[in-house]
Amino acid sequence: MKTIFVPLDFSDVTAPQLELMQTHLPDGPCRVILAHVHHAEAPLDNATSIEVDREYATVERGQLAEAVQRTRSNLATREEVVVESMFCSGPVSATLLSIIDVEKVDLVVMGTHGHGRLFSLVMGSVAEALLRKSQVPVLFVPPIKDA
Amino acid sequence: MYHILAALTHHSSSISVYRMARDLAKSLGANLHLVHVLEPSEDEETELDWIHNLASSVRMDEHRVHSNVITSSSAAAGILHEATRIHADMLVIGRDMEGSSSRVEAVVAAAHCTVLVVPADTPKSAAKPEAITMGASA
Repeated sequence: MKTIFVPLDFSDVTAPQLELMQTHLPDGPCRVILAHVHHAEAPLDNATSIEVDREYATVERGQLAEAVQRTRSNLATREEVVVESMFCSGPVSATLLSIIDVEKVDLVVMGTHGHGRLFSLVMGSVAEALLRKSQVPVLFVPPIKDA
Repeated sequence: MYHILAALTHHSSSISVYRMARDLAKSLGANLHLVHVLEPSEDEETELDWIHNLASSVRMDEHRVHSNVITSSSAAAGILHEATRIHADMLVIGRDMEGSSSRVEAVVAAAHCTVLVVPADTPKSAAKPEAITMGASA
Protein backbone atom coordinates (compact mmCIF):
# COMPACT_ATOMS: atom_id res chain seq x y z
CA MET A 1 0.00 0.00 0.00
CA LYS A 2 1.34 3.40 -0.98
CA THR A 3 1.35 6.23 1.50
CA ILE A 4 0.79 9.79 0.35
CA PHE A 5 1.64 12.52 2.84
CA VAL A 6 0.01 15.95 2.55
CA PRO A 7 1.22 18.57 5.05
CA LEU A 8 -1.36 21.34 5.29
CA ASP A 9 -1.00 24.92 6.49
CA PHE A 10 -4.55 26.03 5.59
CA SER A 11 -3.35 28.81 3.32
CA ASP A 12 -4.49 29.59 -0.25
CA VAL A 13 -2.42 26.69 -1.53
CA THR A 14 -4.28 24.06 0.50
CA ALA A 15 -7.16 23.71 -1.98
CA PRO A 16 -4.96 23.13 -5.08
CA GLN A 17 -2.76 20.87 -2.99
CA LEU A 18 -5.69 18.61 -2.04
CA GLU A 19 -7.13 18.74 -5.53
CA LEU A 20 -3.86 17.64 -7.11
CA MET A 21 -3.41 14.86 -4.57
CA GLN A 22 -6.87 13.52 -5.38
CA THR A 23 -6.38 13.78 -9.13
CA HIS A 24 -3.06 11.96 -9.09
CA LEU A 25 -3.82 9.38 -6.46
CA PRO A 26 -2.24 6.03 -7.28
CA ASP A 27 -4.51 3.21 -8.41
CA GLY A 28 -5.24 0.53 -5.86
CA PRO A 29 -5.03 0.56 -2.07
CA CYS A 30 -3.62 3.77 -0.77
CA ARG A 31 -3.15 5.58 2.50
CA VAL A 32 -3.46 9.36 2.57
CA ILE A 33 -2.18 11.24 5.60
CA LEU A 34 -3.38 14.82 5.97
CA ALA A 35 -1.25 16.49 8.60
CA HIS A 36 -0.75 19.79 10.30
CA VAL A 37 2.13 20.71 12.55
CA HIS A 38 1.26 23.34 15.09
CA HIS A 39 4.11 25.62 15.95
CA ALA A 40 3.87 28.27 18.65
CA GLU A 41 4.34 31.72 17.10
CA ALA A 42 5.64 33.28 20.29
CA PRO A 43 7.37 32.02 23.42
CA LEU A 44 4.84 30.40 25.72
CA ASP A 45 6.14 32.18 28.78
CA ASN A 46 2.96 33.52 30.32
CA ALA A 47 -0.68 32.59 30.77
CA THR A 48 -1.88 34.89 27.98
CA SER A 49 0.43 33.52 25.32
CA ILE A 50 -0.39 29.98 26.38
CA GLU A 51 -4.10 30.69 26.09
CA VAL A 52 -3.69 32.34 22.65
CA ASP A 53 -1.62 29.42 21.46
CA ARG A 54 -4.27 27.00 22.69
CA GLU A 55 -6.92 28.90 20.76
CA TYR A 56 -4.82 28.81 17.59
CA ALA A 57 -4.36 25.07 18.01
CA THR A 58 -8.10 24.59 18.43
CA VAL A 59 -8.79 26.50 15.21
CA GLU A 60 -6.16 24.47 13.36
CA ARG A 61 -7.61 21.20 14.62
CA GLY A 62 -10.98 22.27 13.26
CA GLN A 63 -9.47 23.16 9.88
CA LEU A 64 -7.73 19.81 9.71
CA ALA A 65 -10.90 17.94 10.58
CA GLU A 66 -12.76 19.86 7.89
CA ALA A 67 -10.08 19.06 5.29
CA VAL A 68 -10.22 15.37 6.21
CA GLN A 69 -13.99 15.28 6.01
CA ARG A 70 -13.99 17.01 2.63
CA THR A 71 -11.32 14.69 1.27
CA ARG A 72 -13.13 11.58 2.49
CA SER A 73 -16.26 12.84 0.85
CA ASN A 74 -14.46 13.53 -2.44
CA LEU A 75 -12.90 10.07 -2.35
CA ALA A 76 -16.06 8.25 -1.28
CA THR A 77 -16.00 6.12 -4.42
CA ARG A 78 -12.45 4.97 -3.70
CA GLU A 79 -13.12 2.45 -0.95
CA GLU A 80 -9.54 1.24 -1.06
CA VAL A 81 -8.26 4.68 -0.07
CA VAL A 82 -7.83 5.35 3.63
CA VAL A 83 -7.68 9.00 4.70
CA GLU A 84 -6.03 9.66 8.05
CA SER A 85 -5.33 12.85 9.93
CA MET A 86 -2.36 13.77 12.05
CA PHE A 87 -2.08 16.82 14.28
CA CYS A 88 1.33 17.40 15.81
CA SER A 89 3.09 20.12 17.74
CA GLY A 90 6.73 21.00 17.43
CA PRO A 91 9.34 22.32 15.03
CA VAL A 92 7.65 22.02 11.64
CA SER A 93 10.45 20.84 9.37
CA ALA A 94 11.85 18.28 11.77
CA THR A 95 8.39 16.95 12.56
CA LEU A 96 7.47 16.55 8.90
CA LEU A 97 10.74 14.79 8.10
CA SER A 98 10.17 12.50 11.05
CA ILE A 99 6.66 11.62 9.85
CA ILE A 100 8.02 10.86 6.36
CA ASP A 101 10.45 8.43 7.90
CA VAL A 102 8.28 6.81 10.55
CA GLU A 103 5.18 6.43 8.38
CA LYS A 104 7.21 5.12 5.42
CA VAL A 105 5.80 7.76 3.12
CA ASP A 106 6.12 7.18 -0.65
CA LEU A 107 5.22 10.67 -1.85
CA VAL A 108 4.83 14.09 -0.26
CA VAL A 109 2.42 16.64 -1.76
CA MET A 110 3.60 20.03 -0.56
CA GLY A 111 2.21 23.48 -1.25
CA THR A 112 4.36 26.43 -2.19
CA HIS A 113 3.38 30.00 -1.58
CA GLY A 114 5.34 32.33 -3.70
CA HIS A 115 7.91 32.84 -6.33
CA GLY A 116 11.35 34.30 -6.52
CA ARG A 117 12.57 35.75 -3.29
CA LEU A 118 9.23 35.04 -1.65
CA PHE A 119 10.10 31.37 -1.85
CA SER A 120 12.63 31.62 0.91
CA LEU A 121 10.84 34.37 2.80
CA VAL A 122 7.34 32.93 2.90
CA MET A 123 7.73 29.25 2.25
CA GLY A 124 11.10 29.33 3.86
CA SER A 125 12.59 26.72 6.01
CA VAL A 126 9.86 24.09 5.78
CA ALA A 127 9.82 23.63 2.01
CA GLU A 128 13.55 24.08 1.80
CA ALA A 129 14.09 21.43 4.43
CA LEU A 130 11.86 18.98 2.58
CA LEU A 131 13.47 19.81 -0.72
CA ARG A 132 16.95 19.26 0.65
CA LYS A 133 16.43 16.41 3.08
CA SER A 134 13.46 14.31 2.05
CA GLN A 135 14.47 10.83 0.99
CA VAL A 136 11.23 10.38 -0.96
CA PRO A 137 9.84 12.36 -3.93
CA VAL A 138 8.15 15.65 -3.11
CA LEU A 139 5.50 17.16 -5.39
CA PHE A 140 5.50 20.93 -4.99
CA VAL A 141 2.17 22.54 -5.83
CA PRO A 142 2.05 26.24 -6.65
CA PRO A 143 -0.91 28.40 -5.61
CA ILE A 144 -3.68 29.06 -8.10
CA LYS A 145 -2.69 31.80 -10.50
CA ASP A 146 -4.66 35.03 -10.37
CA ALA A 147 -7.03 35.43 -13.26
CA MET B 1 -3.27 17.26 -23.46
CA TYR B 2 -1.16 16.99 -20.31
CA HIS B 3 2.54 17.71 -20.74
CA ILE B 4 5.23 16.34 -18.44
CA LEU B 5 8.76 17.66 -18.67
CA ALA B 6 11.59 15.54 -17.26
CA ALA B 7 14.80 17.45 -16.66
CA LEU B 8 17.67 15.02 -17.07
CA THR B 9 21.29 15.22 -16.09
CA HIS B 10 24.06 12.69 -16.01
CA HIS B 11 23.77 12.51 -12.24
CA SER B 12 22.50 9.69 -10.10
CA SER B 13 18.89 10.87 -9.84
CA SER B 14 18.25 10.91 -13.58
CA ILE B 15 17.22 7.28 -13.81
CA SER B 16 14.60 7.80 -11.09
CA VAL B 17 13.47 11.02 -12.77
CA TYR B 18 13.16 9.27 -16.08
CA ARG B 19 11.25 6.27 -14.71
CA MET B 20 8.88 8.41 -12.70
CA ALA B 21 8.15 10.79 -15.56
CA ARG B 22 7.65 7.87 -17.94
CA ASP B 23 5.23 6.13 -15.58
CA LEU B 24 3.31 9.33 -14.97
CA ALA B 25 3.05 10.01 -18.69
CA LYS B 26 1.83 6.49 -19.32
CA SER B 27 -0.80 6.51 -16.62
CA LEU B 28 -2.04 9.99 -17.47
CA GLY B 29 -1.84 9.56 -21.24
CA ALA B 30 0.41 12.59 -21.28
CA ASN B 31 3.05 13.82 -23.64
CA LEU B 32 6.50 13.21 -22.22
CA HIS B 33 9.21 15.76 -22.89
CA LEU B 34 12.83 15.06 -22.02
CA VAL B 35 15.21 17.96 -21.71
CA HIS B 36 18.89 18.11 -21.00
CA VAL B 37 20.50 21.48 -20.40
CA LEU B 38 24.06 21.76 -21.62
CA GLU B 39 26.66 24.12 -20.36
CA PRO B 40 28.19 26.06 -23.25
CA SER B 41 31.40 24.03 -22.93
CA GLU B 42 29.73 20.63 -23.41
CA ASP B 43 29.56 18.74 -26.67
CA GLU B 44 26.05 18.95 -28.05
CA GLU B 45 26.31 15.98 -30.39
CA THR B 46 27.38 13.57 -27.65
CA GLU B 47 24.62 14.78 -25.38
CA LEU B 48 22.03 14.51 -28.15
CA ASP B 49 23.03 10.87 -28.67
CA TRP B 50 22.67 10.21 -24.96
CA ILE B 51 19.23 11.72 -24.63
CA HIS B 52 18.01 10.14 -27.87
CA ASN B 53 19.12 6.73 -26.62
CA LEU B 54 17.25 7.37 -23.41
CA ALA B 55 14.16 8.53 -25.28
CA SER B 56 14.22 5.46 -27.53
CA SER B 57 14.10 3.20 -24.50
CA VAL B 58 10.82 4.75 -23.36
CA ARG B 59 8.22 2.09 -23.94
CA MET B 60 5.32 4.23 -24.96
CA ASP B 61 3.95 5.72 -28.14
CA GLU B 62 6.90 7.31 -29.82
CA HIS B 63 4.94 10.29 -30.98
CA ARG B 64 4.27 11.15 -27.37
CA VAL B 65 7.95 11.40 -26.47
CA HIS B 66 9.86 14.51 -27.34
CA SER B 67 13.45 15.23 -26.48
CA ASN B 68 15.44 18.40 -26.57
CA VAL B 69 18.96 19.46 -25.70
CA ILE B 70 19.44 23.13 -25.02
CA THR B 71 22.47 25.18 -24.10
CA SER B 72 22.36 27.61 -21.25
CA SER B 73 24.83 28.92 -18.71
CA SER B 74 22.09 28.39 -16.11
CA ALA B 75 20.52 24.95 -15.84
CA ALA B 76 17.56 26.33 -13.86
CA ALA B 77 16.86 29.04 -16.43
CA GLY B 78 17.13 26.53 -19.25
CA ILE B 79 14.71 24.10 -17.61
CA LEU B 80 12.20 26.86 -16.81
CA HIS B 81 12.42 28.20 -20.35
CA GLU B 82 11.67 24.76 -21.74
CA ALA B 83 8.78 24.28 -19.30
CA THR B 84 7.27 27.55 -20.46
CA ARG B 85 7.87 26.75 -24.13
CA ILE B 86 6.03 23.42 -24.01
CA HIS B 87 3.37 24.63 -21.54
CA ALA B 88 4.36 21.95 -19.06
CA ASP B 89 1.74 20.87 -16.53
CA MET B 90 4.33 19.06 -14.45
CA LEU B 91 8.08 19.21 -14.24
CA VAL B 92 10.08 16.28 -12.87
CA ILE B 93 13.55 17.09 -11.63
CA GLY B 94 16.19 15.23 -9.66
CA ARG B 95 17.94 16.28 -6.53
CA ASP B 96 21.44 14.93 -6.63
CA MET B 97 23.80 14.55 -3.78
CA GLU B 98 26.46 16.83 -5.22
CA GLY B 99 25.03 20.21 -4.39
CA SER B 100 22.16 20.59 -6.84
CA SER B 101 19.81 21.96 -4.18
CA SER B 102 20.20 25.55 -5.31
CA ARG B 103 19.33 24.63 -8.89
CA VAL B 104 16.27 22.67 -7.77
CA GLU B 105 15.20 25.41 -5.38
CA ALA B 106 15.44 27.97 -8.17
CA VAL B 107 13.24 25.81 -10.38
CA VAL B 108 10.65 25.11 -7.68
CA ALA B 109 10.52 28.75 -6.67
CA ALA B 110 9.98 30.11 -10.16
CA ALA B 111 7.97 27.34 -11.84
CA HIS B 112 4.32 28.00 -12.63
CA CYS B 113 3.49 24.30 -12.79
CA THR B 114 3.74 21.53 -10.24
CA VAL B 115 7.27 20.27 -9.68
CA LEU B 116 8.08 16.73 -8.62
CA VAL B 117 11.49 16.61 -6.94
CA VAL B 118 13.03 13.16 -6.94
CA PRO B 119 15.91 12.45 -4.60
CA ALA B 120 19.03 10.67 -5.74
CA ASP B 121 18.70 6.91 -5.63
CA THR B 122 18.32 5.87 -2.05
CA PRO B 123 18.05 2.32 -0.77
CA LYS B 124 14.26 2.78 -0.80
CA SER B 125 13.93 4.25 -4.28
CA ALA B 126 16.53 1.89 -5.68
CA ALA B 127 14.65 -1.08 -4.29
CA LYS B 128 11.25 0.17 -5.47
CA PRO B 129 11.84 2.22 -8.61
CA GLU B 130 8.20 1.88 -9.62
CA ALA B 131 6.90 2.89 -6.20
CA ILE B 132 5.21 6.08 -7.34
CA THR B 133 3.30 4.87 -10.33
CA MET B 134 0.48 7.35 -10.24
CA GLY B 135 -2.67 7.28 -12.26
CA ALA B 136 -5.87 9.19 -12.67
CA SER B 137 -8.41 8.22 -10.07
CA ALA B 138 -11.26 6.01 -11.08
